[in-house]
Parts: sequence; structure tokens; C-alpha cells
Amino acid sequence: KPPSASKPRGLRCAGCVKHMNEMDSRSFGAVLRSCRFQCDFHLVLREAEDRFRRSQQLKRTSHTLTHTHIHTHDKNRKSTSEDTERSKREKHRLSHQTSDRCVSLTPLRRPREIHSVR
Amino acid sequence: MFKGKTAWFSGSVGQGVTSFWVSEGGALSSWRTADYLFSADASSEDTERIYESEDYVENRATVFHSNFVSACKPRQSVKSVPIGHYVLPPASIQNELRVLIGRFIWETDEQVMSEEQINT
Ligand SMILES: [Zn+2]
Repeated sequence: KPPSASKPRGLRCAGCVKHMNEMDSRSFGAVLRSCRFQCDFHLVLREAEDRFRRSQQLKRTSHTLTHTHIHTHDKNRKSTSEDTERSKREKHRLSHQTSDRCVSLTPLRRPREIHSVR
Repeated sequence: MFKGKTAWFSGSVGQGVTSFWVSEGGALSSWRTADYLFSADASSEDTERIYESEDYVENRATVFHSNFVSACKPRQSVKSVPIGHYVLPPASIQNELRVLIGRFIWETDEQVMSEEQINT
């Protein structure tokens, strides 16, 4: 049967059907990315991991920026207000990103408690 | 079962899993060169180091839960266990994912395994 044009729920994607001999820790990311669509699980997984990666990259960038600033200040003994503003904004954005990732504390579902007694 | 494959195991993984990997022909390697990265705890120090690495940021270092290796044992085949379901994401995003998908397969596996152990 040919796959239907719309995405049915519960569909399995390359991340679901490829086994260990077909992908490893190095190629898994590329396999998911090259797949035209992901199942619900791999889609949310990829989105959440990508957000984490972006925040990691931001951390690196801000480290480099801070380092450059110190260097410049040492040399010229002068700080422009523009620099300070920029680093303030950078820090603000960072703290937002970080708190975004940690807000939700979710109660785990307990299937055994669902059984109701009449 | 694991012949020709190299793996890195986090310190959080039990010795039994690593021994099983080796006994089935798998080789051990450093986390920078191994084909497969296995951990049992995303918040352990050696695993967090991977999430902070350039390889991970560039999408070349997916960490899998070591329960995958245990799951291959009763099935005697790597082809019947979907490794793509055993992804172990960074600890800081696990809770937001549980909201959307419920439990991870490596969490339910632990339950199944302990029930199996009780029955035998
Ligand atoms: Zn999938």
C-alpha cells in the first residue's frame, strides 16, 4: 500500500524502523534529519534536543564575547556603553533560555491508580 | 551480536552490561571515537560532558540508554530492538518530553525486566 499524503497518527519513521546495524551514535542525527517526516516521538525529541543545542551554542558565544571584552578593556582601558548594553542583553537572553528549559515539573502518570472501584 | 562495533559506556552503566557487550564481540573505545555511546544516567558527569561537546551540538553524538544492550539479550538479535527509541536526552529536557510523550521506553523496560525477574 502506498503511504497516504497526510500524516497518520502513530506512524513510524526512520528513527523507529532502522536497527542497530543501520545507524549509530554518529549517524542517528543525520538519519532523523534526512527523514521527510518523523513520528510524534522523534519529532518532539528532535525539537527539544535542537533547542538544547542552540542554548549550548549561545553559552559558547557568550563565553567568547566576555573573553574578547576583557581583552579589549585591558588594552584600551576604555569601555563603550554600547558594549555594556550588548553584553547585558546577551545575559538577559541567556537567563531566559535557561529558565525556559527548567520550568516544568510534571507529575508522572501512575497507571495502576487509574483502576476505579465501583 | 556486537561484532565489529565499538562502544563507550558511562560510569553510570552497570558492569554486567559492559561485560555482555564484550562477550558478544563488541569492542570498547573512548567517547570521542566510539560508534555507540551508552549511559544509564543523563546527569552523570561523564555523560553531561558529551552533551556539552561540539560533536553533540553538531548532531554527531547521540547518547543511547544502556537498557538497549540489555534488551538485545533475551531477543538474541539487534534487529528486533529499535535503537532509535532508546535515545537518552539531556536531563534538563527530559521532563518537558515526558509531558508530551509519557514515559521513555527505557523507563518502561525497567519495569518489564523486573517483572520478568520476579517470574523466573
Ligand atoms: Zn520515529
